[in-house]
Amino acid sequence: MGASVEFRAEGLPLPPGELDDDLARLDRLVAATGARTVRVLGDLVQGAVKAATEARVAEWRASLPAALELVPGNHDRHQATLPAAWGVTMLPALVHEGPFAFSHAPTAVPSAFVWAGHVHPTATLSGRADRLRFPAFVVVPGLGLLPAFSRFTGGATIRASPGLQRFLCVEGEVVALELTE
Amino acid sequence: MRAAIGTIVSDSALAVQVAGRGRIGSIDEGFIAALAPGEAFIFGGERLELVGIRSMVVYAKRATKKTTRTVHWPGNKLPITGTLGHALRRTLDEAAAGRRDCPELVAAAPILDEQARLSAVPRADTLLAEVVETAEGHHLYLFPFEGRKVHEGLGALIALRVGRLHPATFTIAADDHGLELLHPEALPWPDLLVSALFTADNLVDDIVASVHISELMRRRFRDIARVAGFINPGNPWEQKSARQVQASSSLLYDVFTRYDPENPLLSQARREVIEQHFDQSRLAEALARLRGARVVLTRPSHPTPLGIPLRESRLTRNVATTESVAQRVARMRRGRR
Repeated sequence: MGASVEFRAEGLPLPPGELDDDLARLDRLVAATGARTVRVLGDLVQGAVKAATEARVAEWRASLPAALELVPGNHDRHQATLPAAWGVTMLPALVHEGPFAFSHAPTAVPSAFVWAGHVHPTATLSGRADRLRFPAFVVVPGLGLLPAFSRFTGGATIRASPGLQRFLCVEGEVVALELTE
Repeated sequence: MRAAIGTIVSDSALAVQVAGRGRIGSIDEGFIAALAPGEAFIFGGERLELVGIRSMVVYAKRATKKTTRTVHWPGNKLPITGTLGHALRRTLDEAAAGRRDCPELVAAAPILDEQARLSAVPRADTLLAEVVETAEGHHLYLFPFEGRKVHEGLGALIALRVGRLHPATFTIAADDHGLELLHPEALPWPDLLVSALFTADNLVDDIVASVHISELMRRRFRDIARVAGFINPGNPWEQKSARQVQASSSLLYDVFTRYDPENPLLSQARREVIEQHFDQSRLAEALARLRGARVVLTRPSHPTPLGIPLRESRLTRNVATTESVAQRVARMRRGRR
């Protein structure tokens, strides 16, 4: 959250707006799904939280009708400094819940399906003389990779491979690249 | 070894290391990135085979296989001038009329003959258009001989004007001789390549719109972001690849266009694109000539000697679209079924 704030703190005048955008999309998702918990799989912040980000997220958090949890990842090593006003419940690096496990980095857990972040998968829809790249959900046996939530996060391009399914996020719609059985 | 450490923008060069001989020189990154390991190229007069590229060093060995792939340098990318373009058209015109009285034309004769056999050799008063269908898609090749930058602008302008009538997505390649518009579905080019396509009416508005629908600004933005200090190309001993730099500049471009479309850095990119690719006087002059030219449209069975460099080298590729993302996704999904 607040990557552009970080850039500005480094003296690079990136326009603001992406944080508000991300928070508004989260609000819409929580409202649409009635979710009781928002669980973040790592990469919540990139470095020490700057004052502007802290205040804006705190304001948003106050009106969020859900719990906010973080499965910490490699960018969250400043987790001790996450502002108290964000009300983030810190979880262990691996969380089990029902048939699922949640982790920041992809991992294999016997008898559980793991959801992970970290990779920020994207995939390319290509046709004759045209191609477009989108953020994508990637599913392999026992593991699902979530796309980056923030719009402006570079990610790894995942190519087709046997046993792998890719689902593109296309303007509010999900497009399956592989035919599911 | 040449490494960029300052603000002046240039393409990166990679050191070339040959087994048993150490580093023997440097090579343009754009050239070598297009080769796969095992492929051969000519470097400093000798044939080398690419073994691999690691941390900005090209590893190569002496090649046994033959090749004609010769390294290119940034100087090769300087577009030809209007005067040289004119001279080229005149020489080709004379060659088409049978002139073979200098060593260059004699040497080029087999290529010109093949061009004539498959399609036609452009004459001074004609515009040669070649329409080819391949597994890749539908190609239109045009050969105005106005220089690469003008062709890139012209390509975007044609994409805009044709795309208004027939929404489509074009992949535009350009070199000094001509341009290629690659598109997924067939277009009625004989009806489209008429003088109205090259009109000077609404030219200023159409130029702005062409920049808008194409990726020329996105590409231009890379150097601007670099000069503005947004992109750190890395230290000389750990240079980032052009691909990495391109990825971060592309993300920055998206952030600016979405959240601050009036930003001076974007205006700068727009201004540079318009100055370089849509040079008003040269473009207007080229359009006037094309309006008066007789269009010779051929349908070669495969790309011709003039078209092959455009298809193979793709020195620059630029996508210009008059379709929405949803339309493009729908078309590509139809194609997959």
